[in-house]
Amino acid sequence: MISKEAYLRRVTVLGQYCYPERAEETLRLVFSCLKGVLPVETGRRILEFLPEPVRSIWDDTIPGKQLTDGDCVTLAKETGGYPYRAAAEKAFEVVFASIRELVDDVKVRGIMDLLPSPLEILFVRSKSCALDGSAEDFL
Amino acid sequence: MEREIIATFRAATAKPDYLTTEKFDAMLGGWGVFNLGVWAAAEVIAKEIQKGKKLKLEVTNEAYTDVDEIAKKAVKKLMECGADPANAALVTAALLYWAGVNVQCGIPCPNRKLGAVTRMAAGIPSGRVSSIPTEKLNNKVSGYAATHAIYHALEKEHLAPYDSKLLPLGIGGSPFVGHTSIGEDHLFPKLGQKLAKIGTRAMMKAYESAGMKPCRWMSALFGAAAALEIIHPDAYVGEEYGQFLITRTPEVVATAAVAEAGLPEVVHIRVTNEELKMARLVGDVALILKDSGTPTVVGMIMFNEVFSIIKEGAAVGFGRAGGPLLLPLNHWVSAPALALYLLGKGASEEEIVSIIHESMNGFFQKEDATVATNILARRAEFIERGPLTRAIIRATEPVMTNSISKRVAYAYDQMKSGKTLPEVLDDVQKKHIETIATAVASAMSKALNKNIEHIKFKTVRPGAGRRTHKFAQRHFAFDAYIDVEVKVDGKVYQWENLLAKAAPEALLKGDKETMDALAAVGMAVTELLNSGACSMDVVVPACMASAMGMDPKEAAEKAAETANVIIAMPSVSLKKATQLASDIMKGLDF
Repeated sequence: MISKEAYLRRVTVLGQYCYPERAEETLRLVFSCLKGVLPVETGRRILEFLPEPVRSIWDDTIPGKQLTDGDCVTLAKETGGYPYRAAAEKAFEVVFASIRELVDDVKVRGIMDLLPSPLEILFVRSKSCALDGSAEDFL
Repeated sequence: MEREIIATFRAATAKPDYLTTEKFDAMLGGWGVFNLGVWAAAEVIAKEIQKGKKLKLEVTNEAYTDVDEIAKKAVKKLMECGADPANAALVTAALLYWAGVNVQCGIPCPNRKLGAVTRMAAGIPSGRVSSIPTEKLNNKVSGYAATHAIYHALEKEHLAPYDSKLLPLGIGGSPFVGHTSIGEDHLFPKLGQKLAKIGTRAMMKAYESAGMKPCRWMSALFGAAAALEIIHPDAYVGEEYGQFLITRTPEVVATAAVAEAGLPEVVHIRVTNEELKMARLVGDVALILKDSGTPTVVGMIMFNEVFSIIKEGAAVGFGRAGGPLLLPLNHWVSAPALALYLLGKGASEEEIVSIIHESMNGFFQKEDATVATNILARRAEFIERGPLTRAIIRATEPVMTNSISKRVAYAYDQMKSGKTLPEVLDDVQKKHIETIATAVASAMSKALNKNIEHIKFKTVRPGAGRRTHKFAQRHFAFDAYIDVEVKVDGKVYQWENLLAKAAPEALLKGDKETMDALAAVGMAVTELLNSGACSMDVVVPACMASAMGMDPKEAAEKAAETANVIIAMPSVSLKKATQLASDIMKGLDF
């Protein structure tokens, strides 16, 4: 299992953040917005797919504003103070990318199936958000 | 609506050229600048983004990618607008970088580097850092300073972290060194950082010795680029320097250059405040610079202005036209570069409009800056129009319309009440100078962390007495006379004939107290010397006088004679605008 510190370092790299604290801020923002938009039961099922230390961070995060229209990217943009919507989407991609790196394909599929369709697109897009491409680029 | 008001508004805004003293057509020949080419090339790239082209250098098994194709189009556009091929290549690389293209990928084949991609798109040979000049800061130096110092150190000292004579036969240049701990953990990062430090220090010294305040950004850039000419520029490094597949030698080398230059570790994009790691930025751009060919000083000016989208701006060395000063318009490319960056990040047109609008708050003279940006965008549309000019015009048109309308109404009321054109312009010029003084005092109080209670310009006029030529006596920019008073933290400083006498005397005597105090007022003086970039304060009253019946030629001449500070240089467009106002009046039949 990856330590929380190592995981946050990886999120820092994936997000190209300048300060390590941005990693945890982003994780908490994304999880808080997800908890705000997903039905409780869906959130619980996603949690089952998450490995440690992601699971603990999810658990510790207070749910954000409850939304019925499901647009949690807009919520993240407003809550996180992002200057444009795509920057908020990028936050989701970074978090999703960090999760994808820690779970197998079955769990990736499981998480994806539980996400509302706009977030599913971001989950797919997050396959590699590393600056230099993923190792797959070399194959 | 009064006919004079309609005629004046229409004449002043009929052509972008009428609201500036600058020569837009000459900008298209590459004579001194090619900023309209930068606007157009940014637009070319923006359209490719909207077509869904892939802006990424990848390790794909193909001879050419989308980036090669886009680079060729952008380079071609820049060259059509007067850019030398090497300048076109460098600026294209900078624009593509902000549009989201990574600077390098792969080893050994394909080994794609953005600087090389754009250089090959321009069909030019590679250059060397020693032959690349810096941008002009009155004077300029070149990468020779960094290269010379580095080779001098290589000759005098042993800089590698081991005795190179011990390397056994057959492993030099092999993966035994390059792809293992020897190269990645020791040789490349340790040697690279030493070289970058030496190169950066030499650049700073060269700037200083040649009478310039060292440009920290350029110094770090050239220091890092010169180091990357020697060490492996594509190597991955040990985990202590960064994660595998993410961090390569350019960033590691740049870390030392950034520290040596005293640059901030993090900088920000204007308005959005997005954070950028300085070492990553310097490493990326140094790699571009190293591979781009041999640009000229003009190319370096334009290249550096593309980086003025960074909020820390000229204080650190990133261009000069992004604010707060209202520079001559031939420098201005911040708006298209910022809009391109935002488009590349996926921002919507509405979001771009809003951010560009807000970016005008970064200028001492927000209205003038907005009008200046508007007329550049409108002129750029003659060459290449698309999503960027559309967004920039949307962002600036309301303020432009408001600014001109207010001035038209003011000029109309004043002249209707009996004031002459010189009387109106005298008031306008005084107000313009006071506005600059107030804005600079407020901004510099924050910047210097001092209480600048006031800046009072006592006398501002052409003819400081340094030159006897009548041209210099007439035009402020060529021999400016300024008496100014500034109160800083309770202490009053007064200078007579600041630019011809007080400032040079203090500087040559090494009078630090005076020079420090001048920091409070220097930007305001510079702002006055740059006047004319946006000339609406003069053009509108002159057009109104013409619309009210004054001979158009006389209106233009009287305006230039009276407003001899705020149109610091001669202006042909002023005469054209007053003539048009008169022509329009004759055609209005209601």
